[in-house]
Amino acid sequence: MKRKILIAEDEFLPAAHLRAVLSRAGHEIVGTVATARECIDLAREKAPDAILLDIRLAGDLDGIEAARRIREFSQADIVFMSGYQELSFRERAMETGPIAFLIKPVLLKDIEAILGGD
Amino acid sequence: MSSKRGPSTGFAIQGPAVAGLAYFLTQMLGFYFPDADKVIMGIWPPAGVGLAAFLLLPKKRWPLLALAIFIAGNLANMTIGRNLLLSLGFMGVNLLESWLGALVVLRLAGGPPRMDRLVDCAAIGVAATIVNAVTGLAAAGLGWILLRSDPIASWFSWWIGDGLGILVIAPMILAVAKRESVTRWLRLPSILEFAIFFALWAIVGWQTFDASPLHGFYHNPPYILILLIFWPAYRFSARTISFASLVLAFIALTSRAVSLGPSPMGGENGFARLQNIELFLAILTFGAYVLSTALAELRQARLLAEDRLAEQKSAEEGLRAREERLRAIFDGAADGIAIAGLDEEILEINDAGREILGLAKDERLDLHLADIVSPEALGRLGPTGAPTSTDSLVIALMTTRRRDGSRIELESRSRKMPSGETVSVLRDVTERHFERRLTELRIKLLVVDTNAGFEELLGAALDEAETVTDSVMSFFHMVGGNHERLELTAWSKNTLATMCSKKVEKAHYPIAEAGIWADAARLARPVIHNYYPSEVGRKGLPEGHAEIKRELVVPIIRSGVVVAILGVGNKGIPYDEGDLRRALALGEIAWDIADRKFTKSLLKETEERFALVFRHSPMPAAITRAESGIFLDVNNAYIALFGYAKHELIGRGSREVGIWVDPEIRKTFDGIIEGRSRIVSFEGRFRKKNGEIVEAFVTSEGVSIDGELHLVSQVEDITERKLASHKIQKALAEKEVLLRELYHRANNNMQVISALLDFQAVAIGDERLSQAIEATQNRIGALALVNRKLYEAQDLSYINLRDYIVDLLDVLSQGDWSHGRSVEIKTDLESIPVIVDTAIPCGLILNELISNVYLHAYPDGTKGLMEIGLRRLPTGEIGMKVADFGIGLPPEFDIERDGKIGLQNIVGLCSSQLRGTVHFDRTKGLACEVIFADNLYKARV
Repeated sequence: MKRKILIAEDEFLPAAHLRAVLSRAGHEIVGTVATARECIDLAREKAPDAILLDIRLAGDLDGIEAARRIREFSQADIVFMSGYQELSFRERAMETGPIAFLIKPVLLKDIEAILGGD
Repeated sequence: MSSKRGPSTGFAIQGPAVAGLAYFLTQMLGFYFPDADKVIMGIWPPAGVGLAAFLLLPKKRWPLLALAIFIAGNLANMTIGRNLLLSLGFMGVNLLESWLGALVVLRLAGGPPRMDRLVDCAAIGVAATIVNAVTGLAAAGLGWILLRSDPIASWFSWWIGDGLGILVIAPMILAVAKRESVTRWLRLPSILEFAIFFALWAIVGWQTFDASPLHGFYHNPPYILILLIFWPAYRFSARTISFASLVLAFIALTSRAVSLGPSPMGGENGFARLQNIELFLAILTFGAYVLSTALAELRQARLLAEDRLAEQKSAEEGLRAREERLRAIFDGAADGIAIAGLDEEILEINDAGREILGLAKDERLDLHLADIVSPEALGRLGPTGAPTSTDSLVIALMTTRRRDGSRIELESRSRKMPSGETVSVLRDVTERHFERRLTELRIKLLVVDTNAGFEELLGAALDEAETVTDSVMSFFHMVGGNHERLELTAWSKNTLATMCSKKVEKAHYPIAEAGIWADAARLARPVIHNYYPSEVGRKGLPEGHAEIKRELVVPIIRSGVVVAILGVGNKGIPYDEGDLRRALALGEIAWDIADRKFTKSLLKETEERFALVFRHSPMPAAITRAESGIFLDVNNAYIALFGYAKHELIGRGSREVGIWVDPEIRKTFDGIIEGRSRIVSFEGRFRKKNGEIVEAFVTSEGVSIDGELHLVSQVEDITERKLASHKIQKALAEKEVLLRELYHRANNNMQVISALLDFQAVAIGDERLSQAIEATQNRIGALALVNRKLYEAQDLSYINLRDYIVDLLDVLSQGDWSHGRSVEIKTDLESIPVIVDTAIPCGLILNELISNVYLHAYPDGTKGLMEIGLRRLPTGEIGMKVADFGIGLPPEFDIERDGKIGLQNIVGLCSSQLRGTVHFDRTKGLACEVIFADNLYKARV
C-alpha cells in the first residue's frame, strides 16, 4: 500500500537512506525535515499517513513535543526512532500514542514491516 | 443406766439372799439341839453364818442382809411354832450379835479377816466370847421375861451355843471364801496326806466320842485330838482346820455320848454333856486356828527375813559391781578424770588424765585444781572446801603446759560433789581448737577481698602458726624466679617486733645462698633443726636476723613443685610431730591466702588493662543491657562519634536517647537475646546528638555480666565509605552509559556505511555488484548486531551466543539476497555466553555459512532445510555447526583452493581470530562445524 510518509531526522545520511529505501518500496515521501517545528508545519500542510520521527531533533523542540502537537490535529501513524540515550523518554513518548518505538540504527526490515510496501 | 446397775443389783440381792437361805437351814439344824427349857438351842450354827455374812458383804449391803436374816430366822422359828414375840426378839438379838460382832471384828482385824493372821483369830475370838456374851444377856433376859426361863442357864446355853457356832462356822466360811489357789493341794502327795489325816481324824474322833459303829463303848483320851490338830495346823491352812472341826463336830454331836453318856468331857445330863463337848470343840478349833495362823505368821516372818537378807546381799553385790564399774570407767576413760579434795588438792587422777598432763604413771601428784581449771571456772564452782548443794557442771577451757613444758589446750568439765570434793573431766582439745582456728582462717579467707585484708590474714595465719607451735617467730616465703629465690616474704607480728630488723622485711633471697633454713625449699620436705647452732653447714642468716635456736620449716608443694615455705622458730623445747602437722596445715592456708592475693592483684591488673583498651579503643564501643538497651558503659570513641556526654548515655536506654534512626532495627538483636546466635553484624543508621545521621556497621556480641545478658557493640562509622561508594557507583553508571552510547554510535555508523553502500549499489545499477554490496551489507549487519546486543545486554562484556544467533537468523532470513528461497531452519542451541572478541568472528562466520545455504544449497528453487547447532563440547570447547541437505559441493571442489571469498573468510576467521578448526562434512549436502575455545580472550571490562 502506497503511503504518504513524512520523515523527521536531523542526520542527513540516515534521512536520505530512509527516504531512498521507502521510495524504492513505493511510498510517497512528502518531506524530510530536521526540526520539530518544520515537522509540525509540514504535517499540518501535507497531512501524511505516517510520520517517522526521531526523538532528538535540531531546534528547540524534541520529537516527542512535535508528536504531542501534531496529535492536536492529526491521527497519522507515528513511528519514533530513538538513539540509545533517549531510551529513558520512552514512557513520555508512548503518551502520544505512536504505533512503534524503534531504536537506532533502525533496521529497514522493521520499517517495512511497520509501514508495509509494494 | 439400768443395764449397768443390773448385775450389781443382782449381786446385791444374791449375797443377802444366799446368806438368808444358809441362815434358815443352819437354824433348822440348830433346832435339834435345844436346851433343857427348850428356849435356847445348845448349838447354834446360824451365829457363825450371820457373822461371816456381815464380814463378807460390804457395809452398804448390811441393811438388806439384816432384813434377809431377820426374815429367814423368823420363818425358821415359825416352823417350830415359837412364840412370835420371842421369835422377833431372839432374831433381833441374833442380828445385833452378828452386826456388832462384825463391827468389832472389822475394827480389830483392820478389815474382813481371812483367817491367816493371829489378829483374825483374836477378832473372831472376841466376837465369839465377849460380843456374844453381851448379846446373850439380852437373849437370856428376853427368855426370862417372856417364858420365865432360867436366865443364867439360858445365857450360858446362848453363849456356848452361839460361841461354838461363831468359832467353828464363821472361820470355816471365811477361810473358804478366801480365794486361795487349791492347785498346790492337787498334787498326789498332798492329796494322800490330806486323805490320811482325815481318815485318822475321823477314826480318832469316832473313838473319842463313841460314834464308831465298829467299836464298843470305848473312849480315847480326847487330848489326842489336840495333838492331832497340830498336823493340819502345821501342814495345812485354816480352811482344813475348819473342815476338820466340822467333821469332828458332826461326829461328836451325833455320838451316843451326847445322849447316852458318859462323855469324855463329863456332864450330868445330855445337855450338859453336849455343852461340854461344844466347849471342847470350841477350844480345840479355836486353838487350832490360833496355832495355824501363828505358824503361818512365823513362816511369813521367816520368808520376809530371808527376802530381806537376800535383798541386802544383792544390794551389797550391786554396790560392789557399781564401784568396780566406776573404777573401770575411771581407769579406762579416754578422758582424764581428776578428783580434788576439800583443799582443792588433786587427790586422784586416772591414766588418761596423767597422759594429758604429761605425768608419769607412778609420778607423785603435786597438782592443784587451779592447774587444770581456769580461775574463772573455779569461781563458778563455788567456795573452796565448802560442801555445796549445786550440782551444775562448769565447763572451761584453758591453755596450760604439760610437765615437759609443751603447750596444750585443756577443756575441763567440773562438778562439785555434795561432799565438797570436785570431780573434773579433762580433755586435750589442742587439735580441735587448732582445727577451729584453721576453719576460722579459711572462712575469713572466703570473705576477704582487699589487698590489706589479705596481708592482715596472712599475718594472722603466721601468728597462729607461732602460737600453736609454741614458737616466738614465724615466716613465710613464696618461691619464685624459676625456683631460684625466695620472695614475697611475710612475718608474724612478733617476729617483726622482736626478731628481725626492717632491713630484711622485704628482701629476696637467692635459694642457693640461703642457709639450711631454706632446706625445705631445696629438698621439698619438712625440715626440723632442734639444735640449730650445732647444725653443720647452717651458713649465715640474713643480715639483721636474730639468733635461731630451733626451727621447723615446711614446704608447700603444688604439682610436685615447692611454691612456698613456712617456718617457725625458737620453741622452748624441741619441735615434734604435732608441731610439724600444725605447721603444714597453716602452711597450706598461708599459701592459699598468698595465692589468692596474687591472683586477685593479677586479675585486677588484667581488668584494668582491658578497661584501658575499651576506654581508649579507636573503635566506638558500648556495653548495653540486652533486653532494655540501657547503656552500661561507652568508650571515648563512642562519645566522640555521637556527641553525647557520658552521663547523658549511662543508665539510659538507646531508644530513649534516640540514637536509632530506625528503632525497629533493634530487633536484629533478637537472635542474641533468644540465644540463637552470639554475634550479629548489621548496617544501620544512627542519629548523633546534633541530629546528623551516621551510617555505621555494628558488630554486637552477647556476653553475660553478673548473670545478665549484655551486648558489647562496636560501631564502625561507614558514612564516608558509603559516600565514596555512592560516588563510585555513580561514576560507574555514567561510564556504562557512555560505553553503551559508544556501542550505539558505532552501530549507527555501520548503519550509515550500509546506507552509503546501498546508495552506491542503486547508483551503479549492476546486478552482480549489487549482490556483492548486499553481501557486504549483511556482513556489516552481523557486526552491527553484535554492538546492538552489547548495548542491550546487562553486562557490557558478554553476549549470549544463542540469543545472538537467533537475532542474526531473523535478520538474514529477510534479506533481499535470499531471492525468495524457502529454507526451513532448525536450531539446536545451547545458551553460551561469550565475550565480544569471540562473538564478532562467530557472527561473521555464521553470516557466510547461512548465506551459502541460501545462495547455493538449493539452486533449483526446491524447499530446503538448514540445521544450526551450538553446543559446549566435552572438551570445554564450543562447537557451532551449520548443515544443509542440498546439492553440496562438486566432488572435485577443493575448499582451500576453489573456495570464494565467503569460504575463505570462514577458514581465515576461524583459524586466525578464534584459533579454532573448521570441519566440513560433504556426505549429505554440506555440513560445516567450527570448533573453538572461548578462553582465547579475556573479558575487557
